[in-house]
Amino acid sequence: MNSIILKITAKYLKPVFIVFSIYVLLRGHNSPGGGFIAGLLASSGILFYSLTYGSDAINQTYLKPKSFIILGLVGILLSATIGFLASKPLLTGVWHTFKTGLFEVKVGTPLLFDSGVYFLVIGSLLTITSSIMEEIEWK
Amino acid sequence: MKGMLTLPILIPLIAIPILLVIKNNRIKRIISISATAALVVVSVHLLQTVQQSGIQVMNIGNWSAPIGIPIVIDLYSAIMLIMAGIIGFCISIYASKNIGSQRENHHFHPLFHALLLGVNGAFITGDIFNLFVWFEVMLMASFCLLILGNERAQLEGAIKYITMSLISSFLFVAGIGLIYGETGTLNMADLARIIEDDDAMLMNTSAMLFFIAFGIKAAIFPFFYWLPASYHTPPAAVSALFAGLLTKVGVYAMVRFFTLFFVHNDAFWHTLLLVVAGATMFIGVIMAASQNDIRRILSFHIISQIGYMIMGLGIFTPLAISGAIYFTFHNVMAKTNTFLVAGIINSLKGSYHIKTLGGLYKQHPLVAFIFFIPAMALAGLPPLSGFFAKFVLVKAGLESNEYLITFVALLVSIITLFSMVKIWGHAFWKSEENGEHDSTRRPALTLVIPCVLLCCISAGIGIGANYCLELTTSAAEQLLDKKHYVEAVLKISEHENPH
Repeated sequence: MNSIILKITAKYLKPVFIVFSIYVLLRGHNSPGGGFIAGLLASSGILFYSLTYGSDAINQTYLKPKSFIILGLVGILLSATIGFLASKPLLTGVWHTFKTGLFEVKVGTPLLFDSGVYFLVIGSLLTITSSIMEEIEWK
Repeated sequence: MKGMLTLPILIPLIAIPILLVIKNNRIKRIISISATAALVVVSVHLLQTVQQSGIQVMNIGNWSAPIGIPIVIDLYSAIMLIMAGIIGFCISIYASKNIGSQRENHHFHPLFHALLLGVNGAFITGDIFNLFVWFEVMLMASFCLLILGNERAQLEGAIKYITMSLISSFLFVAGIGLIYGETGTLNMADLARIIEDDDAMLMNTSAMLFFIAFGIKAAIFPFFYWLPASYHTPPAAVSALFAGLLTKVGVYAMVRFFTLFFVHNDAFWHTLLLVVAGATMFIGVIMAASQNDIRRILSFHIISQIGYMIMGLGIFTPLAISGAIYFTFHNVMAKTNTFLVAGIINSLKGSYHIKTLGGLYKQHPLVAFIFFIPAMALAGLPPLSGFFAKFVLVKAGLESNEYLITFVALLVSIITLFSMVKIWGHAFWKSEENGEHDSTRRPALTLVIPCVLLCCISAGIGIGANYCLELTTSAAEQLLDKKHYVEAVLKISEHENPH
C-alpha cells in the first residue's frame, strides 16, 4: 500500500507491539495476560507491518513462521517433560530462584510453557496469513 | 513408572517438531514409522499393566483429581490405544509410497502425528473439557489433512466436513457448559459420583447435547451425510486413516459418557440408542448398495457398521458392551484395510469405479486375496473377526429380548455381504472390458505389507476370538461397574496429595 503515513506508522508500531506483547507474556502468571494473548499481540504487530509492506515482509521478520512453530513446540515439550526429571507427573511446575544482589528472580517451567505458546501462536498466525497473502498476491 | 501413561501423547508430540525440522522425505518416513511402532509397543505394555494392576491414573501437573486433569487408562482405553497404534503404524508405512512427495513436503507427516495425538489424547483423558480439546486437536489435523493437495473435490468435501464438525463442537461445548452449571465439575469420575445421587432429570438436556455432538462425529443416523461427501476425496492413505479412526473416537466418547455418568432414564435413552442404531445400520447399508465408486461404497459401510457399535451400547448388558468393543476393534482393522486395498487398485488401474474395473483376480491374485479377507470379515464370515463380533451382539440382543434390532442386524449383515460381493464381482471377477492389461505392473511392496499385516490381525482376532472376547468382556464389566473408575481417580489423588 502506498500511503506514506501508513508505512511510517507501521514501521514504528511494530516494535511497540512486540515490547508490549513481551510485557503481557511476563505478567501472565498472576494477572491477566499469558502466552496466547501475547502471541496474538506480537503477531498483529508483525501482520500490520506486512500488510503495509507486502507478503515478503513476513518471511523477513526475525524467524520464518515455521521456525516459530518449531521453537514453540520444543518449548512446550521441554516444560512438560522437565517434571519427569524430578519424577513428578507430566507438566508439573518446577521452580528455581536466582538471587542476584538486590533482586530475587523466580524462574519456572510455567514461563517456559507460556513462551512456547507465545511462539506457537505467532508461528501459526503468520503461516495462515502468509499463505493467504501469497495466494491473493498481496504485494 | 507413571510416566508411561503419558507416552501415548508424548510420542506423537515429540515426533511433530522433529518431522517439521527434517527436510529429507526418506528420513521423515523412517521417523514416522518408528514413532508409530513405538506407540504400538507402549500401548500393548499399558494394556498389560492395566490387566495386572487395575485402572491407571496420573494427575497432570500434580493437581489432584476433581480440580486438575487426570489421565485415566482402563481396559477400554488401552484397547482403543492399541487399535490407534496399529492403524497409525500400518498407515505410516502405506503413506510412504501412496502420499506423494509434494504432500510430504507440505507437512503430511507432522499433521498425521497431530491427528494421532488428538485421537490418543481423547482415549486417555478423564476430564470432559480436556476431551473437547483433544477432539479439536484431532479435527484441526483432519481439516488440514483433508485439504492437503488443494484438489477441487477435496475442497468441496472439506467444506461439508468442516461445517458439520464445527456444529458438533458447538453442541459439545454447550453440553459441557450446562453440565458444569448443574454439577460444578468437569471431571468424569466426579460427575459419575455426583449424578448418581443428584436429580438425574436435570441431566437430560446436556446428555442430549452430547448425544448429538458425538452422533455427528460418529456419523450415526440423522447426522451422517457429511461422511460419504468427504471421505472419498483425499488420497487413499488419508481416507483410510479417517475411516479407521475418526468416527470411532465419537463412538468411544459416546460409550464412555453413557456408561459412566448418563446411566439414568435408561428406558428412554436405551430405546433411543437402539432406534438410532437400527436406522444407522439399515440406511447406511442400503445407500452403500446403490453406489458404484469403491470408496463411496466403503464410506457408506462405515456408517452402517457404526450402528452395530451403538446397538451394543443400547442393549447395555456386559455381553453387548463387550461385543461393541470387539466389533469396534474388528471393524477398524477390516475397514482401514479395505480402503488401503482400494488405494492399491487405484494405483494399478487408475480408477475407483467398479464399472470400469475388472480382471483384477486374474492379473493380481495377491491384491484379490488381501481384499477378500477384510471384505469377508466385514460381511461376517467365520472364522474371520466379523463373524464373532456379530455373533456376540446377536446373542446379547436375543438374551435381552431385543428381537427387532437383532433381526435388523442380521438383515444388514446379508446386505453387507451383497455389496462386498458387488465390489468383488465387478472389480475382481469380471473380465476387463478393453481387454488390454499389462500384468507386469506389480503393486509396490510398501503398499502391500500394511494390508497383509491388517489381514493377519483380522484373521488372528477371529481365530483367537476366545481370548479377545475374554479381554473385551472384562473391559465391559469394568465400564459397567463404574465404582472402580470413580475410586481409582478420586482415591489416588487423595493419596498423592494428602494435605
